[in-house]
Amino acid sequence: MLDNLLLGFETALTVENLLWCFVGVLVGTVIGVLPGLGSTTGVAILLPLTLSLEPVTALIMLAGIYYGCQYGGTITSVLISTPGEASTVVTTIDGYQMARRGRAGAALAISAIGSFVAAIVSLVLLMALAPPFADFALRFGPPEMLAVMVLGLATIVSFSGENRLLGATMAVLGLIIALVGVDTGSGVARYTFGSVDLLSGIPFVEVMIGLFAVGEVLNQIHEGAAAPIRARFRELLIGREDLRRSAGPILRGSGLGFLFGCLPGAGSTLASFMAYGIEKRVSKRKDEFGSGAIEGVAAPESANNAAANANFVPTLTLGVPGGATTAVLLGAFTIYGIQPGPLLFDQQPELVWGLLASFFIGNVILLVLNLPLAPVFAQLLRVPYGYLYPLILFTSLLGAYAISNNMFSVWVVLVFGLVGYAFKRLGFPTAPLVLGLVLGPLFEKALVQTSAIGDGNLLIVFTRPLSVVVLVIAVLLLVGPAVLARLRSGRRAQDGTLIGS
Amino acid sequence: MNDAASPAPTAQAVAFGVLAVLGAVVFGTSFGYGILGDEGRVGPGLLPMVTGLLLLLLGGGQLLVRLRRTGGVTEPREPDAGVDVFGRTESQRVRQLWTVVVATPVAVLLVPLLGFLPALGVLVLFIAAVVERRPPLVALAIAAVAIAAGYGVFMEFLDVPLPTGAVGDLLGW
Repeated sequence: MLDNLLLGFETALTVENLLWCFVGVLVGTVIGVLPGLGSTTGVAILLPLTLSLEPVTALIMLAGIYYGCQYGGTITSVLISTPGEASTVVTTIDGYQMARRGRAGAALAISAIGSFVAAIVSLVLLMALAPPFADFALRFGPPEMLAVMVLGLATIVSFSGENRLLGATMAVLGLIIALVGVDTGSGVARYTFGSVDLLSGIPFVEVMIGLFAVGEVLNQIHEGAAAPIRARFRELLIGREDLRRSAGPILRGSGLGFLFGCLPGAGSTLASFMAYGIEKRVSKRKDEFGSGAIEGVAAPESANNAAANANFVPTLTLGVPGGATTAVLLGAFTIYGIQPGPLLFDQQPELVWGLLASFFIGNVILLVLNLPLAPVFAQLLRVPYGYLYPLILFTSLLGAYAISNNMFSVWVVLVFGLVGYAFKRLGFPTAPLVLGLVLGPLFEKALVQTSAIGDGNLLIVFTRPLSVVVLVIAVLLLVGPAVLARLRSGRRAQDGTLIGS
Repeated sequence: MNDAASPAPTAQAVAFGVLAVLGAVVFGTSFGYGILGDEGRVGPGLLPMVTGLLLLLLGGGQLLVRLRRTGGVTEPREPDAGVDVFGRTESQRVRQLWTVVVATPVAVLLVPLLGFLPALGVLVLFIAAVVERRPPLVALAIAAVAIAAGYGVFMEFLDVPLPTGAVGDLLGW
C-alpha cells in the first residue's frame, strides 16, 4: 500500500502532471461557476483537448475538472441561487440565504473547508478500500458482472427521485441508444440503416456534449438571463463558532457521501440531499434550516465531494460508473485504450495510484485557490450569458469534431442537443439515460458471456452465491423504498385511528 | 442545472407517445436480428426485444396516465409571464432560441464551403450581432477571439486537421 502510494505521488508530482492538475482544477472551478455548465459538460467538452496528453496526465486533468466543478457550482449556488451542478442544488437553500444576510464569505469558506475535509476523508477510504475491493472483484465472472449491471440499473431507477418510472424509462432509452452498431456477441449490425458511421455505435462523448452542453445552452436561451445579486466578501474569514457548528455536519456528510458514492449508478446529488435531510433531523437548530443555517451548507457540500471521490470505487474496480461524470470519464478511459476493472490496479498501478494521489494534490490546490480567489471567480458571473453561449456552442462543435475528425460527430452533437433541450423542458432526467447508455454494452457483453457459460441457460446467475447476493441487493433497492413508504403510511393511518378513537 | 419549472402534461404525453412508438419499433424489428443464437444462446435480437418491450410498456403506461390526468382538455396557452433582465418576453426568447436552432446546422452545412473555423466564426458573429443584438464591433471581436482560440488550441496545439473548405482550398490554406 505504502509502495503504491509512493509510486502514485511520484507520478502525480511530476511537473507536467502537477501543471495539468492545476489547470484542471482551475478550469473546473471556472466551468462550475458558469451558468449551465456542470462537471459532466465540462469533462465532455474538454475531453478532446486531452487527446494529445499521456493517459495518466489526461485523467489527472479531467479528474481535476470534475472536483473543481463541484466547488465552482457551489459559488453560484451561494451567490445567485443558481446551482452550477445538480449536486449543489440543495446548497442553494441555506447558502443563498446566508449570502442574502451578508454571510456569502462564510458560506463559501465552509463549503471549501467541508469539501476539503470530505475529499481527504473519502480519499483515505478510497485508497484503503479500492484495492481489496478490486481483489474481491477478481472473483466476479460474467454472471456476477451481469448481476452488478442489474444492480447499477436498479440503483438508477431506485434513486431517480419522485418518479421512478420516468427514471426507468430514461435508463431503458439509454440502453436502446446503446444498441446501435455492431453487436459484440454476433457481429451483426443493428439499427445502422446502412450508415458506415453508425457501425461503431452512436458516439458516447458526442451524445454527452449534445445532451449537456448544447441542450443546456438552448434551455438557457429559453429561460432568459437572471439578475445576479451583489455579493459581499467582507466576512471571508469564518468564525470559531461557525467551525464548531460545522464539524459534526462535515463528518456526517463525508461518511454518508462516501457510502452513497460507492453504489454504482448513485450520484453525489442524492448524497447531498440525504445529508441535508439528516442534518435537519439531528440539528438542535432545526428552525434555522432554510433561513441560512451554516450546517445546511456544510453537510451537503461535504457529502457531494465525498460521493464524487467514492464514485471512483465502482468506476475503477468494476468499470461501472458511479455517476454521470464518471460515466464520461469511463468513456475517456476507453478512448485512451484503458479498460477499468478489477485488473486495472495490477496492470496499471502507475496510472491508478497516480490518479488517486493527484486527488490529494488537487484538493489542496482547490482549497488554496478557492479561499482567497472566490471573489475573483464570482466576477465571472458578470459576463453576460449572451457573450458566453455562442462560445460554448463554438467549443462544443469544435471539440466534437476533434474527437474523431469526423463531421458525423458534429451532427450527433446537434441532434442530441435538441433531444437534451426537449428533455430539460419536459423535466425528464438525463442522468439515467447516460448511465443506461454506458451500461448498455457492458450489460449485453455480460449477458452474452453468461449465456455462453451456461450453454444458453441464463439462470446460472442464480446458482452463484455472489451474483445472488448482488441481485438480492438490487431487488431490495427497487422494492425497499416502496415497502417502507407503505409501512409508514400504514403506521400513520393506525396512529390517526388511535387518536380518533 | 435547471429543469423546466412545470412541464405541460400534454407535452409530456406527446413525449411518452413518441417513446412508446420507438419501443414498439425496436421490439418489432428485434425479431429480424434473431432472438436466440446457436444452442439457445443470447442472440443479437434479445436485448432489443426486451428493451423495446420495456420502453413500449413504460412509455405507453405513462402516456395513459398523462392522458387520464389531462382528461382530453387542452391547457390554455400561458401568457408571456417571465420577462428576463433584458426585458425579453418568453415569446421573444423562444424566437431567439429557434433562430439559434436553425442557424447552427446552417453553419455546419457551410463548413465544406467556408471551412470549419470560418463557418463557426460566422455562427458566433451572427448570434452575437443578430440574435443577442450586441454592438457589431463587440460581436466581431467575440468571433475573432473564438476563431483565434480555436485555431491556436485545435489546429496548432492539438494538430486537429480541421476542414478548410472550398474557400481554404482556393486560398491555398
